[in-house]
Amino acid sequence: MSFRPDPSIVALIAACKAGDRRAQEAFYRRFFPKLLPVTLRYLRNREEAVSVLNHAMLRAFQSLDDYREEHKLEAWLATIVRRTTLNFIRDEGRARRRFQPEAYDPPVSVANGALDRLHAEDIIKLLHALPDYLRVVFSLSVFDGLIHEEIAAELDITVAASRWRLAKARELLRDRYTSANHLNESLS
Amino acid sequence: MSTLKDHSWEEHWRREVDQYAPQPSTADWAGMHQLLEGTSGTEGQRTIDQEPPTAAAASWQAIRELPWYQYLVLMAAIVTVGYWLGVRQSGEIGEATTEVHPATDSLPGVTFAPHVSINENRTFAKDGNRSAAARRDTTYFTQRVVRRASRNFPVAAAQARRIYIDTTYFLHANGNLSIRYDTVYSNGSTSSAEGKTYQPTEQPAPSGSTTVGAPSPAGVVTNAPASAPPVATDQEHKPGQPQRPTATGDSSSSGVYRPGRSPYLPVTLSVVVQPLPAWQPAPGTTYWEHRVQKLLESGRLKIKQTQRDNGHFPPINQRF
Repeated sequence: MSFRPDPSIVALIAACKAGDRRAQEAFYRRFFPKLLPVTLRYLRNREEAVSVLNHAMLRAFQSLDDYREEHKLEAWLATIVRRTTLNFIRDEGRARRRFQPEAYDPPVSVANGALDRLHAEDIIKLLHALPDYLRVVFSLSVFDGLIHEEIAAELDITVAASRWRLAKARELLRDRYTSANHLNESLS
Repeated sequence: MSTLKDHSWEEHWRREVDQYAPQPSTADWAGMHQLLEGTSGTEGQRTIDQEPPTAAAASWQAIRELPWYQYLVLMAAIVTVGYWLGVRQSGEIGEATTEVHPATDSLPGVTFAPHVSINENRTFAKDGNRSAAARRDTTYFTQRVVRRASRNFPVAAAQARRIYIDTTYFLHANGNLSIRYDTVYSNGSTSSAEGKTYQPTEQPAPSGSTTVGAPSPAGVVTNAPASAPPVATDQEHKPGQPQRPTATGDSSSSGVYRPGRSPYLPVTLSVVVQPLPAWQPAPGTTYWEHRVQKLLESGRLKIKQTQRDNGHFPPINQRF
């Protein structure tokens, strides 16, 4: 089954290949809303997520010649962004021992509601409150749908560690949501 | 949220995050634009011609490209010129040694004990210190003093042989100074470093003999022929060929053969014994205090003030 891209996208890609800055800006603004959540759910904050996204978009601009029109552009870009984000985490982790447990307990304030009724921004807040080594596993499992074997291969950890981290992330998310919810109820 | 196994909220989270679409700010695009500008600079590139090599570089390049036989000839020429320059320089130094005046010592006033043998001496000059021009120094002794000076006298340029004159000053307990000359003919060997046991053939200074602590009149000429007859050797020698220009008299010195040294040959030369500078210690001043004071005045000795507090702990100059 072949995918027929939008003609305006084809023209935009052609202009980007030619190095047109205005076309690149339009391209950037068009796909930024879809791609930023990919980095946001892996990284600590928005600044870091935007920085990694910019580097991923740069790689995309440099690789537009390799793009085949039969593929969906959005998925192709998301793949680049996710690979760039994971590479960033992996490289940084080597230096900082990012995946080692560390004391990290920032205050979280989310809307008063059940876990299954939270808005996206509150979800992102709760995710950012997780330690890095738990957040990455949780995002890969819940948002990207990877199984534990794939996560273990991706992060170079054991399957048991992946399982433990996912369970620990769920537990912490519930605890943090509960504590935040209690705090909100006491303040209201 | 009911149980730990209830993960239905995760599906809600997935949908929420998928629908989340934050809009880019101006700062976000500015960062991206900066990134793009930093990586795209191809239009600003241009080819810069390499500068032509300088004359020195071109010469070096030409030398490097020489064939091996020309390179060999070039190296041989360089070595030859260097050897010639070295020989020429060595000759100049050899000539200079003949112009050197006898070293002058400063003799402190020393009172010998009665039981001390007056002819007992010490030799301070090392064998090999024959280039008096380069190695002459002033040595101060605190006990009975003998200075043995060695000088080079080229006999003949063609022979490339030299006569070494060993001069020994004997300081007697009565204050008189006697001088002994040892004439050593060196055939190039360095065996003269051995055998320091001298049989002193001393001659007292004839007139105005130098007294310790009191300078004698300038230009005291001491002629001190050795008493021992010359030892016949197969070495040729032309007596008196190198003459000191300041000679005021002639003296001949016969060498005495001693084991471990080169054969001695007689040589005629004149030696001017310069007066020894006097030193009279100030009352209550030891010789070394006087010496330190002189060194301080001449600037050869400097007292370095230690800094106790120089920002380091311990202070840098206090560490060792």
